[in-house]
Amino acid sequence: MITHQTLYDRMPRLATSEHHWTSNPTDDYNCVGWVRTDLKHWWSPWGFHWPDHLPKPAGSRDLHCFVALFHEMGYQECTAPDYEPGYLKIAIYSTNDVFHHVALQLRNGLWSSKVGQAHDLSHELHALDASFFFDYTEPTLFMRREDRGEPMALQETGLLLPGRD
Amino acid sequence: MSSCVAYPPPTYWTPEDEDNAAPAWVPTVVVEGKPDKRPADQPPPQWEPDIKTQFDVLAEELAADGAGVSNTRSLLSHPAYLGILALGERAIPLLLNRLESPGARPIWLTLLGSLTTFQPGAGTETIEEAAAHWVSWGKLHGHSV
Repeated sequence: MITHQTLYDRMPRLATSEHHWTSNPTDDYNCVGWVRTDLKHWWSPWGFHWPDHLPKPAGSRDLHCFVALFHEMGYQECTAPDYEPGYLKIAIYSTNDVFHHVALQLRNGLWSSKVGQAHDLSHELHALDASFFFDYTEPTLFMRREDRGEPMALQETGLLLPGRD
Repeated sequence: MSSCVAYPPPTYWTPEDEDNAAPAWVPTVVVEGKPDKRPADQPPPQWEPDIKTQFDVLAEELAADGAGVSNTRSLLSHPAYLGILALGERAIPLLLNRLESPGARPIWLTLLGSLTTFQPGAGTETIEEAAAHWVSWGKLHGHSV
């Protein structure tokens, strides 16, 4: 069972920064599914759910596959993570063109993530410092798309938890 | 002038030393196609590791360290991932057993993909379906625990 402590032990910055757990752990979907509000699929070009028309990994590099997916969703590269009214942003964590994680910006300026096979949560941008084992601590790419005003209740308040713990 | 002390030459264990028990650091090597000379009623040598115990330790470590990992491909260089890979085909039924309950199924599926020539997602849509597909495959091919 993955506990909050499991993640605090491996992401020390998370433990000491503002965050709100918004679901129980599940391995049904990953961070990409979360950004797409798709709670049924584990999105990955490495033999999991991945549309045929999108790029496949080149050797061990797979960042371009995910960027193509986000382009298809209407996101374009941008330079800054700051909240801009009228836009929704995502932050991509990667090293050496290998994708690790994507987080979605909320309208309150916090970010929302599904961390691996663990929980959904809202968090500060730099809180996911998985430096315990993986060599990534900061987002490496930001993308944005027009905010069409769609509801974000799922990411803001959580689907599975009636209240926050 | 420095003085020299004559030490006796070191002795090394070799596989031919059948009268001597192998030290703990000697790894188990299974050569495909070579018959095991051990009589059927003789238990494995003490220094042969208990595969399930070894697997469980590695799997718990990998599941905890990989809990926050969104791209399970990133785990390929994790020491516990490599440790399970080193168990080879013997790890397959133990991985299939782990698929019976949710928690870290994408990690076990990725490992199964690494140990075989099949896709981790088995061409299915969801993790649940992929897990069921792999478990069925295991039963058909005699990999059940």
